Amino acid sequence: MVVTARLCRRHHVRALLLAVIRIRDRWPIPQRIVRIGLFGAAIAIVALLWKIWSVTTSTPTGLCAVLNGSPFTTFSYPSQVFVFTAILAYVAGHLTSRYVVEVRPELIALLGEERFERIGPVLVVKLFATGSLLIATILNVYEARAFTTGTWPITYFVWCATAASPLLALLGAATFSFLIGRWLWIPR
Amino acid sequence: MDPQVADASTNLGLLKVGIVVFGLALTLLAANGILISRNSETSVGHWAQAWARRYPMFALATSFFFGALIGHFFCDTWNPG
Repeated sequence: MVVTARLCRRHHVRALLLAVIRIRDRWPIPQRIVRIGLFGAAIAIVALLWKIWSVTTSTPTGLCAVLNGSPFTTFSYPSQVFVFTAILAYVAGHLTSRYVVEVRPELIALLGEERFERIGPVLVVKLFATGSLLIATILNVYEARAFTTGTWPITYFVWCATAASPLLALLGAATFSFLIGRWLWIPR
Repeated sequence: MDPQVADASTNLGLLKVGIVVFGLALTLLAANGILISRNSETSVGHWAQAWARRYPMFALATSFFFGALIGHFFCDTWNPG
């Protein structure tokens, strides 16, 4: 109770608690199901992290075609295919967002206004954006440090995954670029 | 220096990780954008666009960052021949 009261005095946490309470009132999911779901999600996350760890720790001992300690960068497709496909997908994403705006003009609103004014989703979006940028910063620091310490940077793992399936890598890069163009290159 | 061809199962393990982590997330986001938009509701993408309208400089910087990231991963400036 004391901890909750102290938390409620901090206005930014209070808004988050109110949003959580409203979500619980709107969708009264039984506590048992919530706990089972959280437990299952925790197990799934641990299993995924174990899988990632077991694969990545074995990679530097002989992964892809290794020369001078770094993987080959020769794939089935030239690098220009990946880059220009990503650029085209980025532009295509923007064009599809222009079409959506023309069909549904009610979606032209800032975060926190009109259709996007519900405090719960607004907080979720802001938390997700902040968390994503933080994770990107951490990964960039790791990438820079990996080059200086001699460990395998993230780039080498991406190259090796691309070597395993260039088509899927091309598809993933195109899909990611499409979503970035659709979400972040906003039409006026 | 002789190149060492790695065990194909290791590459396949990395591919599985990539499919699970990124492929599933991208598929769910794309499906959400397609299915929800058809029902006149707001999807994850609509909220992302609203965020980008409110913070256009952040959106521009994030787009530039991810574009540079893809260029960093796939621009081949070294070829062992």
